[in-house]
Amino acid sequence: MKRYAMVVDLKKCLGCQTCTISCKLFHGLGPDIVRVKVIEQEEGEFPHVERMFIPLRCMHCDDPECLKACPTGATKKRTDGIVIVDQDECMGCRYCAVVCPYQARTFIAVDRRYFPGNGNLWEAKRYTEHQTGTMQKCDFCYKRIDEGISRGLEPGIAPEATPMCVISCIGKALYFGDLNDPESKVSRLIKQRNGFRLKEELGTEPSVYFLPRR
Amino acid sequence: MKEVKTYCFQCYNGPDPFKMIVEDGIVRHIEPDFDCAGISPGEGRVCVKAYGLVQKMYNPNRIKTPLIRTNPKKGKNEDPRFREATWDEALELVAEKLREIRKKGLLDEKGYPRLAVSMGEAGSPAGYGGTFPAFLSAWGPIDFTLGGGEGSKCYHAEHLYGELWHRAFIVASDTPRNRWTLSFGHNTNASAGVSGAMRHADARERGYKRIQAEPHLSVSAVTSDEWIPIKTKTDAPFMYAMINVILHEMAWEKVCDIDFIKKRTNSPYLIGPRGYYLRDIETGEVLVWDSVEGASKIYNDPSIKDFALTGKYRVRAKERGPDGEEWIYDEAECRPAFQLLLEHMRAYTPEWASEVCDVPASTIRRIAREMIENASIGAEIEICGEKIPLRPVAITLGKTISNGPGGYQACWARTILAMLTGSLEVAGGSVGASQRLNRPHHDRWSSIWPGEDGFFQNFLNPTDPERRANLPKTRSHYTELVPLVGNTGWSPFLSPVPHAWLWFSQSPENWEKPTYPDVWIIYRTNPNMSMYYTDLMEETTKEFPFIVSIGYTLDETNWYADVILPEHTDLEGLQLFRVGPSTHSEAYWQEYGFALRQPGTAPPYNTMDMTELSTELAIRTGILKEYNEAINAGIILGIRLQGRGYNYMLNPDRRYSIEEIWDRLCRASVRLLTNGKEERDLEWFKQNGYFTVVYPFIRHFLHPVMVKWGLRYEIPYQGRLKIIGEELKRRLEDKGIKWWEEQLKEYEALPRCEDFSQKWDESVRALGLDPDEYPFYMVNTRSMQYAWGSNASLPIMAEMAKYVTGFGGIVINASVAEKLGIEDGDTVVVESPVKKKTCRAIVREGIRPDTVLVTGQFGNWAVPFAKDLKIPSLNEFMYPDQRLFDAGGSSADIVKVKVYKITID
Amino acid sequence: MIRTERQLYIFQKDWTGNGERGIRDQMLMPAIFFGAVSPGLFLSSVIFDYIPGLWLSITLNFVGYGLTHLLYLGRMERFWRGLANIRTSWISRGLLFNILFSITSLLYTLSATFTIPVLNVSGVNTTLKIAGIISAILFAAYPGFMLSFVKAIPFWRSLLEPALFFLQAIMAGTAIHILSFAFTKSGYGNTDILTGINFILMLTVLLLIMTALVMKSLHGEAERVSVRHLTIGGLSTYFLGGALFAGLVVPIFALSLIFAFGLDLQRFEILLYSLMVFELTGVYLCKYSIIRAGVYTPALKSRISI
Ligand SMILES: Nc1nc2c(c(=O)[nH]1)N[C@H]1C(S)=C(S)[C@@H](COP(=O)(O)OP(=O)(O)OC[C@H]3O[C@@H](n4cnc5c(=O)[nH]c(N)nc54)[C@H](O)[C@@H]3O)O[C@H]1N2
Ligand SMILES: Nc1nc2c(c(=O)[nH]1)N[C@H]1C(S)=C(S)[C@@H](COP(=O)(O)OP(=O)(O)OC[C@H]3O[C@@H](n4cnc5c(=O)[nH]c(N)nc54)[C@H](O)[C@@H]3O)O[C@H]1N2
Ligand code: SF4
Ligand code: SF4
Ligand code: SF4
Ligand code: SF4
Ligand code: SF4
Ligand SMILES: [Mo]
Repeated sequence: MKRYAMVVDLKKCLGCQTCTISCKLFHGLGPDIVRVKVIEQEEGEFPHVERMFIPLRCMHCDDPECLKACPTGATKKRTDGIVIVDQDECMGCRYCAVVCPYQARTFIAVDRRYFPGNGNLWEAKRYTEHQTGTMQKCDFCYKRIDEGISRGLEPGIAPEATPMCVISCIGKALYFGDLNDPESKVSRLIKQRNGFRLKEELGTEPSVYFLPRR
Repeated sequence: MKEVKTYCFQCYNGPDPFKMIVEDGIVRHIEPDFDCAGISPGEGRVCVKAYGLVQKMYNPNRIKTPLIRTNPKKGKNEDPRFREATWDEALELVAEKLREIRKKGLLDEKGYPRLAVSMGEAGSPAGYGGTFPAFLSAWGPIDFTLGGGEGSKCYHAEHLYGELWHRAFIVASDTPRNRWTLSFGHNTNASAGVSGAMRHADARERGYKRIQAEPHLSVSAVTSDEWIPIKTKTDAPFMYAMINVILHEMAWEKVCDIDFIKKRTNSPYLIGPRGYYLRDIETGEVLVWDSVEGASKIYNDPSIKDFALTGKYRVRAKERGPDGEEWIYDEAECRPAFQLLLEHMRAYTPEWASEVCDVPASTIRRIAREMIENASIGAEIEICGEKIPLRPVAITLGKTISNGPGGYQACWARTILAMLTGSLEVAGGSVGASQRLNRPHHDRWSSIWPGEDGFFQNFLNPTDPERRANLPKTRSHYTELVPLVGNTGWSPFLSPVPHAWLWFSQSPENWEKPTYPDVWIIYRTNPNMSMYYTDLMEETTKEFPFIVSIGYTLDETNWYADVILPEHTDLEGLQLFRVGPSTHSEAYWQEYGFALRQPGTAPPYNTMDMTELSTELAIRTGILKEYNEAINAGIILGIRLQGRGYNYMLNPDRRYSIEEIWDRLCRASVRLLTNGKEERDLEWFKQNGYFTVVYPFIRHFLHPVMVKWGLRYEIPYQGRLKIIGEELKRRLEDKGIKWWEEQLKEYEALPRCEDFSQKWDESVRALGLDPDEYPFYMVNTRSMQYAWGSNASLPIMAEMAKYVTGFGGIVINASVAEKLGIEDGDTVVVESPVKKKTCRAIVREGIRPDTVLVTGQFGNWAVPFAKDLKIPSLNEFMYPDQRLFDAGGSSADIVKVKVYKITID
Repeated sequence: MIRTERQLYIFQKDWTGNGERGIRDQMLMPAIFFGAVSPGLFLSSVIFDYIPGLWLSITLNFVGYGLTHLLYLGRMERFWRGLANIRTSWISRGLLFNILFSITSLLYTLSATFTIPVLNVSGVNTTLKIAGIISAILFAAYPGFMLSFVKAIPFWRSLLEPALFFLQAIMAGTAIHILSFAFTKSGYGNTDILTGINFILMLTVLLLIMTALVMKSLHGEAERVSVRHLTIGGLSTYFLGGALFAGLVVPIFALSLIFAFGLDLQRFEILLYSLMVFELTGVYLCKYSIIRAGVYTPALKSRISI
């Protein structure tokens, strides 16, 4: 059994937002709808200040809060660990977004365009892929992965079978692979560099690991 | 679904190849092109800006069809009232004006070119202009000096001195082999593109150390190991003190790369009593002191046993000064340049610098020691089977550090530190990226030829009266004022551009006021936004008789245009472009060659490809023949259409289609790369994207070629500059020009250092104001999401940028804000001596209390969408002040301001 | 430091809406408010056999709660799907409780008001009453559980939350019960006892809130941020001024005076009704500020740089 996971190297992330935009473009997401958000934190007082970037996306928790909270069953967990939202089932209550400890979900409230009032061929074609009034979140590009696998490619190694954000990251800060395979790049990185997960104390068992900055 | 290969060159860190995914008649999305993973430093990935190209293409706020002005009155508050026109009508209107010029003569009564063309974006128009260069070349004399902010506001001193010492436009670090980098405001994570970002990310993973010295904790400081909150414009003093520590507190004889200092620099050159190189009386060659034999010898005498670096000697010799003047001495008292350096640097103690930079002296000492400790002097590494020194330490400079007052000193001190550690142009050290003032641009090795006195050749503007008499005229007069900038294709862009603009309204004493160009073509630059003193700029452009903009959206400059010709954008046009071996920046390729930019789908609007536009203009102005001949001769990317065994020449009298022209250029380009052996046509390029051949990586380092020719870097002693400076001074004195005196003082053999931050206080004082009233240095920083102001019209970029603190307002230190009663998000007034504006305060801890920061290049009032962002621009707060120009005519993006809470009354 | 904190602690915004869907985005708060008032009033009315109250409760349930909640949903036509996950989801459970409450309260009210053969059989009647009471209690308390099970937002995480929501519900129920006397005089005689209960509930709720605040501010940094936001930050007007002072302290104080001086409540009708309005507004603002004060723990706290 596979368990897909991502590793984020905080030492390498430079906050460029390439992951965010490439994901948006790939999935055809409208204004302010993001599946991965690179947040920024600043701590301390001048001149002893620490500033850092933390890419946040769905952690594909093994025990997902959202799954438990979702009343409709629109949120589902696949056998490979990927947590997805079935847009056809979602009623848009937003409980999942509130309970997610990682602010991984965005609600598509209305069909909003970057260029209000103006026609734009691209938006007209791409935004039909999503339903308004439903929840959006990272799905580890599962369609891409499934399709890649069906062509005999290995996720995390072949770009065609790897999430868009991972292959676009210009800091090479993102890795994807199978957590259950101790030899996979993600497993090895987590071991070698003391990978940790965010808010582990909540018991959500995220599948996204972070490598420390120092 | 179809994959279409192309490249991005929205900023000078490219070109970066990628793939468009085309489906259902639209460019659906963008993906990296991993086919070039082993070839390009970006490994086939593209940055956030490239993903914005899709929105750029479908942007409904684009100029969708040619526009012609109907309101003859020009002004910020005058709606140009553009009306839509057909291509034929618009082109004919432009051609008519151009034909008039050809009738009247290409130069006007005063000798200035009647046609002026401005291109900006730091050279990236080359990746988009198609055959436009052929049109320009076919035309004849053109004034390129009416530029935007590029060049003179760029890494200016770095460009000029970089070419002088490194043969490089920008000096980067050999990051993959580097162990320790000290960056003075070199904002890698925002400005170094995919290649820079990626190389530094890899180095972090490997564990190199990076120190970022900067007045605020920038996005690059985020991933650095240490942040030194240095005061603005005190970078040179910091480095001077580092040199002082090495030379006067450490045993420099033991810890420095003595071999390098002796053999690769002019440190051993003897300097005469008048401060010029001491020369052999008979041969005129420079002398050194052989400490073993105790005698003076010509610098390249193979019998020299050891070079003296210190001491005082008496030698029978001569000195040669300005205008060939010579002094012959029976016994000239002389010292090696290095000895003079030692003496020169004594005063610049860490304690002195500590006061100036607001950094503890202990930190400066530690940093100096760290640099030495990490230099691994003596180590070697093999690259392409060749052994070269490995000195994994480097210092990089950002643009505001390397322009304006103190720019020269910063570049010089940086190079001195490279010299002391032997890390100049060797593996792991300070390595230049491609050159622009010298040719060929793409291969630094081939431009290195032995010149005078054991240095490599440099082509500077003449300072002797004879050759100066016949210099071609441009409105910035760079050939007369800035010897270092030379006079090749790029020189006008790096000239003292502000001059040209300032002098239209008021020229200085004994200096001619320039004429307005009959026709001004602007392409991919927005001077009224990117230059300083934007109000003055607008007043000037308003007066221009005829302005043609090859544009994308309405902007603050083409607001004043008479015609706007909309071009195909990045994902729509067709052309070939050079990739590798290095660009202006830290982008060192493993291979080099040519890549194709091609349309993904049919363009959605009535725009035109630059090649077609150029051909049209050539035909309509009657220079088709010259145009075709220019293409034949290799004006496009240096690809000649004829060579041994092949001939793809265009018939000069015939009109060729876009595809025909590029097909020939494609074929010829591959011939060029393969010594005539292979050929690929346009179709092949369309499928495969690019054709490259191996570039021996060793060629990225100058060291081997310097050794091969037995050459030295002219460092530390600026013998030549001293002479040039004096000659220039004489020439200007002859003309009664006094206003360049401050700048002439910069031509020092060993530059003196001072607290350059004070210059901005002096400037405020000179206006009759109290500098204490303006307590903040306002500085500017780039963001990865924006390429200057060129993608400011894209809402998706604003969305991406907003996740990074600093975008959309002015950043101010938290404790200062508290004192001023300012809270995050408050509207505050920012006031410089000349401008007052409100904006949003962004309160942060990671910024010096004496600094405020704006991100990016905004301030727009015309560009769609961007104009609603209401983000201030540093440029509008600035005012012309000659004392803030350096000898190259550049100035730094710094202005003193006050900030206060808005009070409603 | 304040700036730093603002960056580190992100407030929950999904339930307060960004207003993109106009008034629909604002519908959750009324729903939560009426979702408390309605079962509260039901309980109070059942105890006092107050038929108008039962009907008002039903109206508030269907319109104040049901309709607003539907409007709030992104896809209201799919509301029925919300029952799919009763096993783990508090929204599902809430929906179930609401349906149960809606049915039982309606049937019970019908049986109490009219003589409907099937309903007025005594066993059925009692069953309906008990079922109504149980489902009202569950329905009243469920939002509290819904919040207290959000692991991500520490401020909400305690069993005080359901207790508070439940007590507030009855408190608001009695308040609206009393307030309804302004329009009908049936059952008016219970004013004194109702006011007494209401008074005790207010004291309990105040005590509960104070305890919660103290406990929260002692507990963790994120909780402290929420507490600060409620007490000295952006929500203090709503919370301190509205929910606590106007909504609890003022009514408690006024009623204490009346009780202390043994005054006749009936003579201070207008004052009493005003106090109830204050109280209800307080309940609304209390829920509103608690939901707004929900803050996530920082994604990553480095302090000693990570
Ligand atoms: N405040 C401030 N000012 C600065 C700087 C700074 O850091 N701060 N930096 C300076 C430096 S280093 C530089 S190099 C300069 C750069 O300054 P400029 O060279 O003037 O560049 P931009 O301002 O980006 O102007 C580019 C213009 O091209 C247009 N454009 C965009 N895309 C296209 C296209 O596809 N086709 C055509 N035809 N036009 C297009 C845009 O509308 C825009 O007006 O700015 C300088 N000015
Ligand atoms: N994404 C993106 N990349 C670009 C460009 C772009 O527009 N967008 N433009 C390209 C061009 S044309 C250029 S010239 C380069 C510029 O590249 P950089 O010079 O690396 O970039 P900047 O961010 O403009 O400036 C560097 C930093 O210097 C700091 N600084 C200001 N004054 C001082 C000082 O006195 N001392 C020190 N130590 N620091 C100071 C500023 O705060 C800023 O963070 O970027 C190139 N790359
Ligand atoms: S990160 Fe959030 S949305 Fe993703 S599985 Fe975990 S709880 Fe659900
Ligand atoms: S918004 Fe949709 S996915 Fe989220 S909890 Fe509600 S029904 Fe489930
Ligand atoms: S894995 Fe796919 S869906 Fe998730 S953030 Fe990355 S690109 Fe977006
Ligand atoms: S693309 Fe990579 S480096 Fe850039 S913000 Fe995303 S994770 Fe960080
Ligand atoms: S770094 Fe510059 S050239 Fe490269 S992808 Fe980004 S914008 Fe394009
Ligand atoms: Mo630049």
